[in-house]
Amino acid sequence: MDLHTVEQWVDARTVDAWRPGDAWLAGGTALFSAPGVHLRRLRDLGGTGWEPLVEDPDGRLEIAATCTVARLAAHPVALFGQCCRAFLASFTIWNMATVGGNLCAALPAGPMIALTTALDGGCLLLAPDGAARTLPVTAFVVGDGRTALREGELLRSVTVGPLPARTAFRQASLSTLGRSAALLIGTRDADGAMTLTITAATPRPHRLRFAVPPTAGELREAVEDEVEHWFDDLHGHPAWRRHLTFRFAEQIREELS
Amino acid sequence: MTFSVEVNGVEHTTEPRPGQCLRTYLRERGCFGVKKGCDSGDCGACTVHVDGVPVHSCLYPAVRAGGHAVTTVEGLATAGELHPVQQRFLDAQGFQCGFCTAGFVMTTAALDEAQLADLPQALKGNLCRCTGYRAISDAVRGVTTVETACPGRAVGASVAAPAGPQVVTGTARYTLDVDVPGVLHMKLLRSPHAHARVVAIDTADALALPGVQAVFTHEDAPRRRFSSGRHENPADDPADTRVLDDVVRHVGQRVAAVVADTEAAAEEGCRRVRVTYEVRPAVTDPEEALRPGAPLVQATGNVVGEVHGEVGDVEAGFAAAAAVYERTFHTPRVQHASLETHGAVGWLEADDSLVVRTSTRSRSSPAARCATCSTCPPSRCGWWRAASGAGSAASRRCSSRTWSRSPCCNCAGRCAWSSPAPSSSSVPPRGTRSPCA
Repeated sequence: MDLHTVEQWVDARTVDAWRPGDAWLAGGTALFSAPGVHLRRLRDLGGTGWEPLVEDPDGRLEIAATCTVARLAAHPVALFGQCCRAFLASFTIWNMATVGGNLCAALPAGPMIALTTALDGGCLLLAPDGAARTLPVTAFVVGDGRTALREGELLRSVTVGPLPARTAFRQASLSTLGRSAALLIGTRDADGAMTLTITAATPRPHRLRFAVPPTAGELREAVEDEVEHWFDDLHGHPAWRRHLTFRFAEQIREELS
Repeated sequence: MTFSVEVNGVEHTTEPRPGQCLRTYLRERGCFGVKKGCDSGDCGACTVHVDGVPVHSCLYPAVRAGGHAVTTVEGLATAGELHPVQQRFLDAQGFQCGFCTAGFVMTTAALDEAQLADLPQALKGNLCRCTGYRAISDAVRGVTTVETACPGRAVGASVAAPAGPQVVTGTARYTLDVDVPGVLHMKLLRSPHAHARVVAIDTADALALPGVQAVFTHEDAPRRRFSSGRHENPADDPADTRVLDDVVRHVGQRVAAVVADTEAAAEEGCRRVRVTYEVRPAVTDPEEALRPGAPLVQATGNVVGEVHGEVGDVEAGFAAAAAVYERTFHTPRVQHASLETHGAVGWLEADDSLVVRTSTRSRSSPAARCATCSTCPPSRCGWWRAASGAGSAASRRCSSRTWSRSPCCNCAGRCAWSSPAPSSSSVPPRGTRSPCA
């Protein structure tokens, strides 16, 4: 929709002090989907030319915040495609929406949050003065719609990997192809270590690590200890989300054991 | 660097506004086939191609289109020949009201083989509120369902909707698909309270805003009430509200209308209107509303009418039944959410007759009510029924528009009648037939 209060559009590469009413613009699918009457100026990241996907020699993958979902969906790793298809949004949105935008929106069902949490992602944040810091995704997304971003701070990229030997994916929603009510991902490394990522059922992402695959009871206990709140909105009752989480967690444990 | 975008092969250099989305930029260039549905990326009615890639133009920043080639539904046909997808939507009649069709056609035209094999996934970004998707699925798969009405065998033949060619090419004209030079825009300030009396409204700040032409409040509105749920017989439903009332009875009820040169100024004007409310006890549950002592929605009481009915001798039937199962059943209230946004355009003709162009399936009823709530005599009040972007009961009555997000037709009529700078239209009243009318 038209953002009627926006008075100025600037290229993010031009150095300019952060002002109240400024917003970073990546794909635009979040900013242009709500009136946002607080907005005065859009700082367009479209011209940054950041390489969408950069793989380092150790197998780690740096995903630029401006990497589109469509670009990620085309990546051969199966888990990437599974997570992209977990979007409520269609492929026509993937053509514009970005990985960074999904993280910054911080919605519990955000599948890019699930993906990057499962792959032990680290967020590179840049302050307006150029200062950089990194946070794990689980510390970046801190609640429903809440991130650790400070005023004017920018998510530059999220670095994941190396890719685990095996992954397991479970997702459910109230309607076919609907918004995720629970999205769980398990990973198993070559050295036997296992992780379980819980998203969508909880307000923020959770990641559990096990040096060796746990027993059913150990896993259940670990989830109970980790998760304090089950998310509640019209896309799923908290009790149902909890039920799905334990069910999927056990399925993942069996699949990866 | 100067702005330049190619739209359907034609270069445009008009600079977009900083916060403008591609949808409105294209419509301002005359591409009315690009529809406003949800305006937030869910419905897909605004789908266009940017360099061949399908996107939701309501979310696409117009500035970003600079240097690119945009194709809308109007640009899909080449050399006078329909695009194969357009022809398929005709052959299978893959539409009903047609409001979503341009978006479906544009998305479908961009699908690859793998996507065509999984239509629910591929088309989840396009919503249709009429067809139930069966006809669309047929269209995408190339099924032909239309028949020719041959002499002697015409009755029962599945003939094509006359408006089909306009629908699939984006040339069917719905309510707001009209360029009205100099049109003013109206936005409504709405109540945040479920029940309150408007004690005072200060419009000075809004009126001082450049571009704002008028602000209407209950003080400008006729005292006469009308029925917001009117049926054909006006006696069926009580007159329950004024165009702008000094008592609000639900959250979102219109409190003031700001008329301005631009939507932006009208919206800012709404934010500058200061309203003092005296909040009253509210009841928002029908069963609570029936209890003794419940807050009164209207002074006449909370019961508007009662409907009782039975077929045959129910008591005798129960007495004779082998088993009786008695329960109270509840259904949720459902809005069928037509894709076309609620809106209307009003203007005065040279002879001072009022014309209101809106999406409705009935002309006489809204015309009568408009005459009730403005000072325009019925004989000078004409209604132009544009193609309807989905119907059902909501578009039979113009009143259903009154609780929507956009200005209702009553307000548009009222505004055109009493605005200091009434809009006029050079568009001749030429009709498009609604396929679902």
